[in-house]
Amino acid sequence: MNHAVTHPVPHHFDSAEQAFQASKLGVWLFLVTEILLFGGLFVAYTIFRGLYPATFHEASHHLNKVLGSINTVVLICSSLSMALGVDRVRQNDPNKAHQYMLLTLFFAVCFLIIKYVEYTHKFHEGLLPGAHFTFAGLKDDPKAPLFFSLYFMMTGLHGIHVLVGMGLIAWVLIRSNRGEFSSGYYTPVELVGIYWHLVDLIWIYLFPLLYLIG
Amino acid sequence: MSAKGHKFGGHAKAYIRVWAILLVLTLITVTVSYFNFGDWNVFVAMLVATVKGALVCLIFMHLKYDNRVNQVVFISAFLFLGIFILLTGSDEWFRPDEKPVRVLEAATSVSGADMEKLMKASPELVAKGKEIFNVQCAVCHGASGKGDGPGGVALNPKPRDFTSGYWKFGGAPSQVFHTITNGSPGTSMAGFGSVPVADRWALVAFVRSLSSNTPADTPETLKQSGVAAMLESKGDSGSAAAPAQTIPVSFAIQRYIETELAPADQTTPPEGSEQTGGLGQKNYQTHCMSCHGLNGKGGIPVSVVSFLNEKKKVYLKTKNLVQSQQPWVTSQAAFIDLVSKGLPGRNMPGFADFSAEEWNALYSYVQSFR
Repeated sequence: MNHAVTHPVPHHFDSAEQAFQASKLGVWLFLVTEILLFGGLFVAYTIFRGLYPATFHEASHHLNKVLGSINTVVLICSSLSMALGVDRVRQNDPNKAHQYMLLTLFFAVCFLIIKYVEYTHKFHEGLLPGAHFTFAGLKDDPKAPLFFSLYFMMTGLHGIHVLVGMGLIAWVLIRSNRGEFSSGYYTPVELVGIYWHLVDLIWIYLFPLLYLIG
Repeated sequence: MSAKGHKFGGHAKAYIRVWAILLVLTLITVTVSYFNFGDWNVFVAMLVATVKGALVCLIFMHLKYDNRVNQVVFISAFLFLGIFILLTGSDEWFRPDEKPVRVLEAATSVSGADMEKLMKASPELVAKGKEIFNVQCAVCHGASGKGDGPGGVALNPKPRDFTSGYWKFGGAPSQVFHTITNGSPGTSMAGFGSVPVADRWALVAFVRSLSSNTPADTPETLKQSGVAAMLESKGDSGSAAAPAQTIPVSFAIQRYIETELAPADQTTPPEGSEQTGGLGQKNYQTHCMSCHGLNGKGGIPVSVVSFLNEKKKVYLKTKNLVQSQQPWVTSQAAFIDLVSKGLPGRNMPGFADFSAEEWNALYSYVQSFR
């Protein structure tokens, strides 16, 4: 086994395994709070969709289904490359791991660029939340701005998670470059991976709810 | 130092398989969205998303190989999310349709036959009208109906002098009834639609008895004032127990806000009027009038609360100082106590910096409304 850099087990843990499990439990608990954070928005979506089904039907046609689909594929690919990257770290193959993590970052940038194109288009058309809504095509429907409030809140919060995830991936990439991780200690890589998959998981629900069910 | 408990090295093949399935599922869900299957679109989309999500959780996030505690913790998130959605949603899904409410007008309506009797003045009706007049109208119009009531002193235009024989909106019974019901726009004369129909006809009889100029109803005036329609519509019920009319709750609220909550008093002195009451009037008009009205009748909205529909507002309104029998209007000590402390939470600020002389003047001025 490769023990080029050994990571000291914090003194309050019995073993490296126990430390790893404790950290992971912490991240799972954090993800629970993340799901409930988005949960509030999902509840708002459910209620308002129940109240104004016709509005949501009409308004969702003004989202770009093709760009949304491409972004879904991009995120799924990024999840795969992240999973493969974590796997490579665990297999003591840092070079391949770096390539996979860089690929993940590349997909994340693609996602944000596409999101930027979509947002720019919405801003240009005036498909904006609340009082900023100026799109002439849906002027007759007083509840249409509500859909775009939810759209921007949900995708915006998700976009922030993508940015945070990119920062975290860059952080483990740098630490990995220093040779800090091996099959013996790779906790941060594993946990950042789990976080990144959550970002994918949330998008898996956002995409059909906002773009597809029309 | 091998991590036992995850003997899952080299999962690359499983990852790629999951990735391929996820892409296929994405293709399916996007394709399905181009067809309209009604409610099934939501069902299929959510089913596919859940399968995709489960694959991501189990394989990419290693939940399948993780220990039981982490599995329970993460799955509990979805359990609580489900409770969150179902409990909140149940409010919307199981909310009953709007229930109609009884309209005050209908509850106090009289049959067409009774109405015709009420329209013919009798000494009894005039006497009954006088009683109601003293309660509802004499404050402004004066006990003798000459428009010289204490509440009407500062009004502009002045309250009608019923002995003058002049009728702005016509002196026929149905026309006077219409004016009592709807008020006179642009003046302080409010609508008294909340007074029972029979009582309003008694008022008509009394008010007309004061004047020498009392034209009779013609078919035209009956039609114009809407009384003809009332006579006809009530005629078919035939009995005293007319069926109550019902309207939706939202409409009732709107009606309530538009009629009941209209301010009862003006908040600025009429143009050209001069201060005659000295110190009390000066302090009242400076500190109190903007909320309690020129003549202390209150009913001025002082705080606005959005209610049900964001366009409609419900108001917290000031009390009527003219009619109130509360100690803070009938006793100077209680008056000073309340005004100096204010009513926290009800938008009544305290005004403590008056001298004893000013308190006396202010209290006397408020009493002059009554």
